[in-house]
Amino acid sequence: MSVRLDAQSLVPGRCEAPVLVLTEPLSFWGGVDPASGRVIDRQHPQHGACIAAKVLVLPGIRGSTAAPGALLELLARGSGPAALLTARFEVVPLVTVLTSELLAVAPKPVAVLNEALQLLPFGTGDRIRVEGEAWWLDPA
Amino acid sequence: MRLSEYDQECLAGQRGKAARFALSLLRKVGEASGADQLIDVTRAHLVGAYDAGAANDELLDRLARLEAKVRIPTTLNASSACLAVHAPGDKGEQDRARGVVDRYVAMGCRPTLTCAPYHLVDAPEPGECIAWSESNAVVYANSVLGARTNHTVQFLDLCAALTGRIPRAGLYCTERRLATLEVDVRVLQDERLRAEGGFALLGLWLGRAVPAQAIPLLSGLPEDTTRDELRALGAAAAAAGSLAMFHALGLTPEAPDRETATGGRRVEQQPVTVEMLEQVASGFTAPIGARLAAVCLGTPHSSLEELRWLADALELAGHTLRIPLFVSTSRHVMALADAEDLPARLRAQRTTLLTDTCTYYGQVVPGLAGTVMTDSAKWAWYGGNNLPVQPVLAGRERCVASALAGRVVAPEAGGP
Repeated sequence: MSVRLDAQSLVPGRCEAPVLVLTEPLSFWGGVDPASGRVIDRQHPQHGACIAAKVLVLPGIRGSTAAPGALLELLARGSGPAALLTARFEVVPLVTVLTSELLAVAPKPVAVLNEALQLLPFGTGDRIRVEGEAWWLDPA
Repeated sequence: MRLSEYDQECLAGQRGKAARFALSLLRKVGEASGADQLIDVTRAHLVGAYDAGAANDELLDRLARLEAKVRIPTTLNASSACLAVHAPGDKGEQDRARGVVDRYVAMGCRPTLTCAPYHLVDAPEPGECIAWSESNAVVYANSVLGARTNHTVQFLDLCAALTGRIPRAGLYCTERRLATLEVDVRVLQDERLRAEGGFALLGLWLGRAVPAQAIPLLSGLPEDTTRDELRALGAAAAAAGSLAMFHALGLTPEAPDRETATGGRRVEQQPVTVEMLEQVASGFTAPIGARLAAVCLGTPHSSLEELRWLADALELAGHTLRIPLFVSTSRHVMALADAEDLPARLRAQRTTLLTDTCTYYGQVVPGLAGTVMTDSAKWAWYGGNNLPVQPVLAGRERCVASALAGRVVAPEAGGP
């Protein structure tokens, strides 16, 4: 049974992929391996998880302002997320995806959650589907 | 969102294709962030002048083909290699870094290559709206200089430079600069804690403990707190969290008193204890006597005062270093230091001086591995992730003593 997420679309698009939920903000610069998309920030609770081709759901972005350069590289190499959903408005995903259009990288959907991240019923194997501006959670 | 005549000319392509791309991006970001308009910025500081990979190079090449030129004075952040003549390090990495810097210079940027743009001769004035990236510079500009900037992330910084515009949101708005909570930090009046890198630890704690977008008012700091100590605090907090501004009661320009700093609102009070700071430090320690591979200072780039202190401290010791001591600074501060003969004195003590870059980039010090001591919480944070090292955080006195001994020495007798 699909659940429509209460999310404000910043970049519309189309995708369907497994969800990866992070419980703490992520630094794309220095916190993610650009080649594999693995979280290498040793302080991060999801250290070792791989963001490649996932719908990345996270509380926010932290750390270096060079995050867009790192995220652009991930997206261009195919080791980046399929879509980004943050719990608060963050400039990094929006700016990076808008910039990636200059490189003819297919724009990845970006949205901000209007509801509390920790209240959402995410489970192992869940998928998210984006159709235009609508974000749907498909539980496993 | 209200657009000026100039904004509309940019969007219509009358100011060139690069300005059209840049203004279109600024407009979308402004709308998403709830800005009512775009405003002028007087200068920009860009974070992208390092080797970030092929896609980043390609992006700059595309912008060059759109005849991109910066419209306001624009400085460049530290790069991924030391570009000085005869610099140590990987030649291929130096060539790639130089290639990126050259692309930005072709757009009209100044190759300052420093994470400490506030050390340049023309530092921003209080109240000046600027578009700075580099998290430590943003905290310093807002908190210590009283200038106004958000964390202008990469590419947004470039769009600001190409147009001289930025969405009016966040810290550009007077009411958003008021303190939102007060943290009693009188614990730092303990001289031993202060000497053991207490300001860096406090910054790490703040970065983790304070909610995103919070602006803490720090009360109870020592009256003789230096700008370099506030800088170490802000750099640590920005690396560990998202802090963009703090007030230090009686010390920073927008906090002459509690009433001014908070706008007269009651804010939540929170104390910091020695135990909290020890807890933060526990991730960055090593046993006394442990062998060290190197000591790294100068993150963010050393000030002239810090280089003077280091030259004096090393000469006082009376013997040379047992392990490499790396010190990073800007080419600007290096030129000032040169006029005082500091680089020659430091090199006589076998210090390795680097400009334009930071030792926590992978290729700057080839083979850097093992236990590395630093006085910088920012270095400890990023070095631990970027390099195969175990970072140890200590005050600068202990960093120098440990570099001389080649091992982790104990804090001064009776210290924490």
